[in-house]
Amino acid sequence: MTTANTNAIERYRNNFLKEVEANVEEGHMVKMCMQCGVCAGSCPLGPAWQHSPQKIFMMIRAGKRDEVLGSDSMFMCTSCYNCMVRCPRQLPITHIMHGLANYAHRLGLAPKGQPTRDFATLFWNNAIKKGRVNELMLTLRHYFRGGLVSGIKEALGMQSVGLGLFMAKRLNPMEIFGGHGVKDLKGFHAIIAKAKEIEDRKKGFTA
Amino acid sequence: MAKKEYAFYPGCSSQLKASASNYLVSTNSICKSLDIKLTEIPDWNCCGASVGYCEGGELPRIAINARNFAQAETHLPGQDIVATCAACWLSARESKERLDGSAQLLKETNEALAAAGLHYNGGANVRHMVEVLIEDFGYDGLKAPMKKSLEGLKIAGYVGCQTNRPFGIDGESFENPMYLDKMVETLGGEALTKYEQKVTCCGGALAFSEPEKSQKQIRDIVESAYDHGAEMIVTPCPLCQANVEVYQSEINKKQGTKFNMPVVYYSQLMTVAYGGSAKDAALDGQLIKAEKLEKIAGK
Amino acid sequence: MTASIATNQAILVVGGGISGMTAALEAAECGKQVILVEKTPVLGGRTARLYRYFPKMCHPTCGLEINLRRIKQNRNIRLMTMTEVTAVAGSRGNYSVTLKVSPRFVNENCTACGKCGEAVTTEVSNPWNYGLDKMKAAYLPHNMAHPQRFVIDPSIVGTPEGEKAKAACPVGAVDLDMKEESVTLQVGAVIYATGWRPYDAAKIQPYGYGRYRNVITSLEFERLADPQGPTGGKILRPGDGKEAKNVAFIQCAGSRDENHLRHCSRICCMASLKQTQYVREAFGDAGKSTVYYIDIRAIDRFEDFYQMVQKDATVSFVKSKVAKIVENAENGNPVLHGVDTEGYHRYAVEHDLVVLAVGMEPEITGVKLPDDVILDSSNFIEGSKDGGMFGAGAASSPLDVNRAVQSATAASLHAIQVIRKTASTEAA
Ligand SMILES: Cc1cc2nc3c(=O)[nH]c(=O)nc-3n(C[C@H](O)[C@H](O)[C@H](O)COP(=O)(O)OP(=O)(O)OC[C@H]3O[C@@H](n4cnc5c(N)ncnc54)[C@H](O)[C@@H]3O)c2cc1C
Ligand code: SF4
Ligand code: SF4
Ligand code: SF4
Ligand code: SF4
Ligand code: SF4
Ligand code: SF4
Repeated sequence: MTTANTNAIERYRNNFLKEVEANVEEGHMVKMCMQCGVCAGSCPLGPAWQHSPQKIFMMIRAGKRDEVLGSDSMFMCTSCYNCMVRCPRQLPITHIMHGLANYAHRLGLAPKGQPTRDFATLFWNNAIKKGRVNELMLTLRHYFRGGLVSGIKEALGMQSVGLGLFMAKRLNPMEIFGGHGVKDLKGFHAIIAKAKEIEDRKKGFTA
Repeated sequence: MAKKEYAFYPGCSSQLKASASNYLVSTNSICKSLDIKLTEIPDWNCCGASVGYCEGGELPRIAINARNFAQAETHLPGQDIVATCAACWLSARESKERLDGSAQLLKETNEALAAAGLHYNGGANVRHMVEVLIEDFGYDGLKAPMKKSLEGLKIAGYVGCQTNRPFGIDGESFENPMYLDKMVETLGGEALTKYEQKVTCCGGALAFSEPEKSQKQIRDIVESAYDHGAEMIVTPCPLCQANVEVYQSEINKKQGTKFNMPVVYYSQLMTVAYGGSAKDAALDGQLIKAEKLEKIAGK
Repeated sequence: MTASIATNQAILVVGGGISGMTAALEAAECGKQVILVEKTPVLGGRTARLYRYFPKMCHPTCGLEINLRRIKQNRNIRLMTMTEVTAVAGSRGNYSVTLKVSPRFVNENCTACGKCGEAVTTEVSNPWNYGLDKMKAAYLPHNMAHPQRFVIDPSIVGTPEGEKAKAACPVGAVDLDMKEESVTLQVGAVIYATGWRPYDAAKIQPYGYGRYRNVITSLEFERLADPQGPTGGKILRPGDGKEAKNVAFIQCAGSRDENHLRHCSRICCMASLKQTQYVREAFGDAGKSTVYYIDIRAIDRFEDFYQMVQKDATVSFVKSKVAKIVENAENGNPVLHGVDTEGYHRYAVEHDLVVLAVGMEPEITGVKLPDDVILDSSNFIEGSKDGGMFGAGAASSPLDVNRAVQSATAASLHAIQVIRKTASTEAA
């Protein structure tokens, strides 16, 4: 268990809603939900997940901390914004789902090996490294995340795709060696480091 | 001097030899025809996209967007920021609105920017290329440079999600936006206005991490286009374009379908209608050849 | 022409629905002078267009008939139809109001014989049936219309069709030279009984009203059930004229929604419960109604009605706000998508017809009212700062008929007090 998690449990005791309000992006809006179910019916991959946004918001109010932060549902959000434009209470549902995923991820409670969690992490790290996304490295890393053998299998399965893109000049093999990037990388990294420092302090990720 | 000038935010996927480079090439072509000058924001960085939330968190994501705003503000003062990628537009615009809405957030963001000697004053205006075309030029204005009609081409307008929700283009409806159809009609093509999958989500980044689940969506999107007699799909978003085009072969393999539906950008249609060659429209960049469009381009 | 009638002893009632008629009658029967202005060519308002009334399921015509008789008998009421208020100046006890009277093109001589209607062939959309059908351009709005006088639609005035109507009239009642008039009057108090209008269902995009023909509003459904309506009382869906036996009711369509109307419209739960009984009446046990709701708000005395409907085996309830509707392209059936919040079951259910229980918004939304008038956050009229103007009925709050009548009586009493005070200060 991470220290941040122990601290949070200690600090908010039995009030998970308060914890969410304080630490999760747009978490203060959770209490506005009237449980109408529109969001639940709007998710494109809805049938594939366990907890719809509506259910998650209900569970937050019911104090089901472990179930919520251990859920893989937030990672199934495709950011389609269907729920957000339909919600009669105008909850920024997409952002809350993202915020919860981030919070669970940072506390180390999000499900291990959840593919979108891993991909999202890869994506961010890839983008941050050079300031711009290196699509080839992103693709390769994604396929090889499970180790060499399964990676080769998956990559072979998708090779028609990669090869096609390559032939159509839309994937650059030279990107392996570097590729696009921001010139003032030092400054770019300093901004992120500072922003992270401020956010971590506020959300209790640092002591 | 060019008629209109904008600060351009190409985004990672539209760079040379990236997955949406064909978008970039064709966008440049139409800008030439419409006398638009796009100036890349100097040393721009990735917006973090929607999927960046997991590791990135809130402030870092907003701060990197603000870095782009600060650069634009300093180097291209007074120009609207224009993005071609739906996800870039969305991340940037969302960041902008959050910053507009909270002095505290702006303060913290500037604290972070100061680490690189930058400052954001809060004046960014973030727009999508389609917005610029429709609002600043209008459908009639878009007609002006036309040299050829796309007559006879049956096109399904696939709007997707992020160019549509939560902000929308030109005040159009979230459930049935018509602007792509209107653009197609402006160019002389036949818009399949009854195409009902126009705002279905393709799965976004999850097409990558959860292929099984997203491919059902993509299948619906393509199948319905066939049902309506479409000869190609047009989209305004690089990720939509990639997902819907690239995975067709996968779906064919797994599910025995025979999908072979070209998916092009509105900018490619426009380039051809404006008399550009297949090369100007970057039609060589299609995985599934848009033969009918190539034919018109060759005429 | 500008007529001026100076009497600050008079009460102006704006709107001739059930509330306006009630307010006018209460004051007139107390001996006060009342000017009742109504924007449309007839009295009755929205209630006259309902098939049956909850909770007793009687026909609205009987109540209307009684009120009309009282109005006809009362000499203190001056009725002006096709008239709207364009400006109100002055203050309590002494208002100067400007009215715009639109031409009817038919004068008092009309006997409603119908010959003009037979003579013309042009058809126009019929507002009485919410545009579900068409009518002749020379028409009587409905059978019980008061005043019983035909109307010539302005679209045929100045055309040969207009001349045909004129030529057909045996009593010379058609007057195609009528012009719009402006009238100024002095009154002591004003009652706004301007009622409500349905929220624009097309704005609730996920439900596809306007895109899918078999998605209609609760008001249109009233007309389908009414024997005087466009289908002669058969519940036939607009898409293909097929009998709609399996009907879905979607509650809170546009109400309790920050994107639309913030308030609860209060009557739409009862209205849908009532309408499930239209389905039963038409098809017996073969009919099927499904009510999709967030929670059912059948307040106090209506609880019995709710329980009665709950016992009906043809009616089922799904606790869920429907996420979206798509159309089955093969048969035109609307397919409802959502999640049942009791148990979180995902559904995709096909129905023959969807009825949107649309919310009520004040009819005067968007109309410029005197600065003195106080509106609540949903534009319902609370009163006026000077205490001389009042809201009554659905103009003041989303009310059912019973409560609208109570509210109108109260407004009438307040207006009478204003007049009394003015009279006594003037006498002193
Ligand atoms: C689907 C549905 C079913 C319903 N069923 C029932 C039921 O079964 N039982 C029940 O008790 N209630 C029912 N109601 C509620 C009922 O319709 C209202 O209570 C009733 O209409 C209120 O009457 P009103 O006179 O206040 O307003 P209205 O009926 O709206 O009358 C207002 C009048 O004012 C006129 N007017 C508006 N603006 C102006 C202007 N500027 N100048 C001049 N005139 C103007 C209008 O033309 C209209 O004639 C139902 C409502 C709905 C939506
Ligand atoms: S749509 Fe909004 S109000 Fe309804 S359940 Fe979802 S979050 Fe709650
Ligand atoms: S944005 Fe996420 S939570 Fe909302 S409907 Fe789309 S997938 Fe579901
Ligand atoms: S959205 Fe995608 S393309 Fe756009 S900047 Fe971000 S990562 Fe790059
Ligand atoms: S349709 Fe797909 S790619 Fe396009 S915005 Fe939606 S999720 Fe993104
Ligand atoms: S206007 Fe003349 S013809 Fe028409 S109904 Fe009246 S009396 Fe009959
Ligand atoms: S009365 Fe019922 S349907 Fe109408 S707004 Fe209130 S809860 Fe919704």
